[in-house]
Amino acid sequence: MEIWELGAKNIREQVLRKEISAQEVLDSFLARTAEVEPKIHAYIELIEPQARLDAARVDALIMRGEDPGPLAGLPVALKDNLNLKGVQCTCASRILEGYISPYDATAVKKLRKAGAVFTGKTNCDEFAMGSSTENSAFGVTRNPWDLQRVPGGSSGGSAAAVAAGMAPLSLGSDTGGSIRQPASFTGVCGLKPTYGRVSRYGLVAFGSSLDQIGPFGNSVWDCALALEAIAGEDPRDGTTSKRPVPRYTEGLKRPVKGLVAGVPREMMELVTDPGVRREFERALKIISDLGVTVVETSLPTTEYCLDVYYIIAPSEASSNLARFDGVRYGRRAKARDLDEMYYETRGQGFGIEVQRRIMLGTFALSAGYYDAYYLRAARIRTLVRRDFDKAFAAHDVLLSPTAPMVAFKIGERVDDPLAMYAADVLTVPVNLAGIPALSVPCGFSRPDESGPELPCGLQIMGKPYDEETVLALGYAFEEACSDWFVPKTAAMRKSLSSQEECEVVVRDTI
Amino acid sequence: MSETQYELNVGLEVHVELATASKMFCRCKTKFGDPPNTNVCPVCMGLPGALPVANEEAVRLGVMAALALNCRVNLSSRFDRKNYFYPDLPKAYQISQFEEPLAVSGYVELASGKRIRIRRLHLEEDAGKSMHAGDDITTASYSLLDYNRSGVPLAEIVSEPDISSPEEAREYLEKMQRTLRFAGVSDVKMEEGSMRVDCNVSVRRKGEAQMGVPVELKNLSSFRAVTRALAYEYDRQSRLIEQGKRIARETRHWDEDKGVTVSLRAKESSQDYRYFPDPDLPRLELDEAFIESVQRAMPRLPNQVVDFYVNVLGLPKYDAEVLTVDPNLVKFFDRCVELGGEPKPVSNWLMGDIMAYMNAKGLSYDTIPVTPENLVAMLGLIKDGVISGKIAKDVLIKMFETGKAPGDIVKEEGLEQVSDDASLSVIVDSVIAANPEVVAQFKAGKDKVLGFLVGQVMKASKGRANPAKVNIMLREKILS
Amino acid sequence: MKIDVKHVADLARLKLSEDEMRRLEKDLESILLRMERLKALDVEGVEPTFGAGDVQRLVLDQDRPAPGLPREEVLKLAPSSEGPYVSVPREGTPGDAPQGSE
Ligand SMILES: [Mg+2]
Ligand SMILES: [Zn+2]
Repeated sequence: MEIWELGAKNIREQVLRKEISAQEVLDSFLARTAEVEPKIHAYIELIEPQARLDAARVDALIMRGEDPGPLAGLPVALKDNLNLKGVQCTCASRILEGYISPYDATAVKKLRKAGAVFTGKTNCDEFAMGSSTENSAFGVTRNPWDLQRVPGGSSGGSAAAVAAGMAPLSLGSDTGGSIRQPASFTGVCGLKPTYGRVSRYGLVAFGSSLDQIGPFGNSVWDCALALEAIAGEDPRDGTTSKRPVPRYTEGLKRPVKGLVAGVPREMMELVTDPGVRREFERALKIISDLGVTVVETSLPTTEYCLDVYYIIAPSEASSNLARFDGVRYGRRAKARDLDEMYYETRGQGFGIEVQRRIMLGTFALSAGYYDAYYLRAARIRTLVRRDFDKAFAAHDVLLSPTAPMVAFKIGERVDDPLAMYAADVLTVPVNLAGIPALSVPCGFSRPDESGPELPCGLQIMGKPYDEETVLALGYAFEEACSDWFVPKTAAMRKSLSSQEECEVVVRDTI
Repeated sequence: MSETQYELNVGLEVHVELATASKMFCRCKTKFGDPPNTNVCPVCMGLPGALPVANEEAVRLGVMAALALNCRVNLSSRFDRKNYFYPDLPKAYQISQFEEPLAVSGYVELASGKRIRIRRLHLEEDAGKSMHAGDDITTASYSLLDYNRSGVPLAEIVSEPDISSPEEAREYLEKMQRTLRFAGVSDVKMEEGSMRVDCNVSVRRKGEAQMGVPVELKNLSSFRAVTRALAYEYDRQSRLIEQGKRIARETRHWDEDKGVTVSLRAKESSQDYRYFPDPDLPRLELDEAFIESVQRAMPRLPNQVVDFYVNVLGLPKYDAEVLTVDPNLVKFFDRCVELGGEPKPVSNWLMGDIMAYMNAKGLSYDTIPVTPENLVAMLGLIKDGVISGKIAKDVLIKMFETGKAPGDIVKEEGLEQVSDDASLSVIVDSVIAANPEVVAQFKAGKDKVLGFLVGQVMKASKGRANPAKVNIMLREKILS
Repeated sequence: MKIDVKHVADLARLKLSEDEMRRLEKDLESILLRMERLKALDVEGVEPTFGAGDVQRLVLDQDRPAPGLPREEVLKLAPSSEGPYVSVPREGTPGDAPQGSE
């Protein structure tokens, strides 16, 4: 078995036992990347020289007998909307092409301190706006399970990198499902922590009241390890919680027997793919067998969540993205005067989906419409939160499929915003409520008779700051499925090696 | 057009920079005059991913300002985003308090007893500074940006349109400036931009119920500019009304050199700032205990000081008003009194020679060129007859220049009054000998001429003779 | 739902072609049409939620200055600079030589 095929847990243990060096670990992942990246295009930029320095530093610490940190030598890929000092941070947008960040995001700083080795910046939808990673100025990322399909989005590059074995861990950001939905589409684990659990400092803001950074991993354990490293209060982000950070990896084996899980009926009504529904129901059976009481429950506002989300997130985004004006950094269009500079820089620099959301949000905040749109949405958000509070009064966790469908074909939805937005319908309620949720692979569906099987995800939603219960149930579930899921992933990765390289598709609407 | 037919209504928006060491939402320095773009960071440059963290001291100073201006402090307030594009505004939004300001309902009381009501006081961040390369705003081909000021904390103080003359506007601003300076919340210097004033001016016929169309005035860089611009606008607008013309709702720019206001932009297409609560900043929650602690820490405000000077120290009202022009002056005066200086002489010297010297040198009151100890010592020398009041003026100049104690100066320069009988006697004798006619007149009963002889003795002694003693000695020597 | 796309694009400082304008108009109108459903909900007296965290009070930091970014780094990021300043084309009348990095 190659090093890259081992999970984060095994790699870390072997590094700490000095059986392998951080540099050998990196070599293995870089070799794997060289092999499959031309087919996947998960990265916007690989940063091999810096990564080698990071790995050497970890090895030096181990040699000296110093503590290299809990992520000792683990390669981590970063979504390109996270600031890593000295490295380009483009958010997959032309407007930031060539922008070299002068500072580290708090999550990045914490990972480095924990001994992580950064491999590069991964592709995503421009400014994290999208559900397929097709809205990137730097080409489309492909789904390792079927190269004709999207990896989901917006953190599609981070998801695909882990799924294809290019990195054992990666970070993404989740504003309306951007970690969980691509995790579901690519058959990996992805966690959106509670709002306020992980500092947003250094994450390029999209919807500030919704954004959270979270990890992707091959297993729940890997996600728990990464969360442990990045969570906690940050004096630079006044919305982070003071609560102490539990040892998530140690809580994984907590008994799940006796937990009560609710399945919101309104969410189930939104599941369009019969295969997804079938696999979810099978997952419920497995969970019942673990001793969890599974009952139907209700979140009456579910049907409004997508609309509320598509008012609040674009409103905040319209303000957050106003700073990309070509004055202090990023690209500036040629212009004769100030106004022309603004219009041309922003007209040329942003892709169509980003412009669409800026327009939507600008409208929702504008004079005469604020009350009817933004304020009304903010009030309904309160109702959504109340629904969740009520549901959590009677249930320890809530369960649903992560996405109502499996990965769709590249180009299939990209020109129909409402069809694209529908991919988030089961994930946005979680962001509106600010609660934690994990997507863990739960089965396969074959939408095309002739095509390959595609993974689908189980979404486990928890009470605010109760990542421990979410992770514990995810861990128990994963254990129960590992004998059939793990071999399928291995087979996918193997077949990936034999596939043809794929050309980079850059969509012309960007 | 009859002057009295029209009524002026002015509301002022005053921005003052709060005297913190670091900025409102980041910890960059706020120091005025540092080299361009040296006090900046990801937050105040609006770099992608940076987040604001509020400054505790800015909140405390904001509350202090609010209390000093008789405002009611809201226990719960909120920061909003004011969205607009301008190169000096790094995030393309200003964090400000719109819906729920820090404080409301205050006032400034004028000498007439009239109260100018303050509608609200809120906290916000300053923008950077743009300069126009080339000749001026109309011919420059590009602008230069310095972000040192970006994010400096401001209190914006908005009055009701209660001001009805340029003089009232000036008095309101001066009172506010003094008050805020005494409260220690700001330097409040218009010339350094730590106090900035915008006016909303309207004119209507007397007796009309409806307010006139408000016109906004910008670029008022001194109190004088404010009064001149208001006087100009009053004339302009009342003339337009007289002619039956419509007053445009617009923003006008005060041209200091030409002494006129010129239209900058129409307000009809008024900016849509798309205010909304800043999701990065939870509500600002204060408690009564905090506000009480700020109130307790409040330094004495100018009107309290004036009361004390007049009623307790017995100073004339005029002196009290002059001394309370600046807290440093008050501190200096108080210290002098504490050291045993008599209030009125101390006041006289401060308002006279000291202020004259400082004005000539362009000094501000935080650098008074003598110490209270030395001034009081000098007054003691006068009182004890060691030096005359006239000599004291020269000693004071030496004190300014050398920083030495007056006693030392007097000794080194030999400026003590000549009081010993032997030395005086020699001079008096020579004066008597040199002026036989005058002496004869005096002997003949013409008492008034003694003054001339005293003057001659003083002159001969280079001012050092003790005049009282000279007087007695002359009488004795001539009449005996 | 009619929406003045030109006005909104002006507020957002976006230069859009006629085609893009038409397309966005159509997209926004269909999105807003869907959102009409929200009007059916009674939100009378419901407090709005503007943030999702458990931090309910503004966190206040001590007023202690800390170093920021070196000026060279700040100026290096800027598309154009002059001396110690960031520079931008001025406001005003078109017709001058184009400014900018492209
Ligand atoms: Mg203001
Ligand atoms: Zn700063």
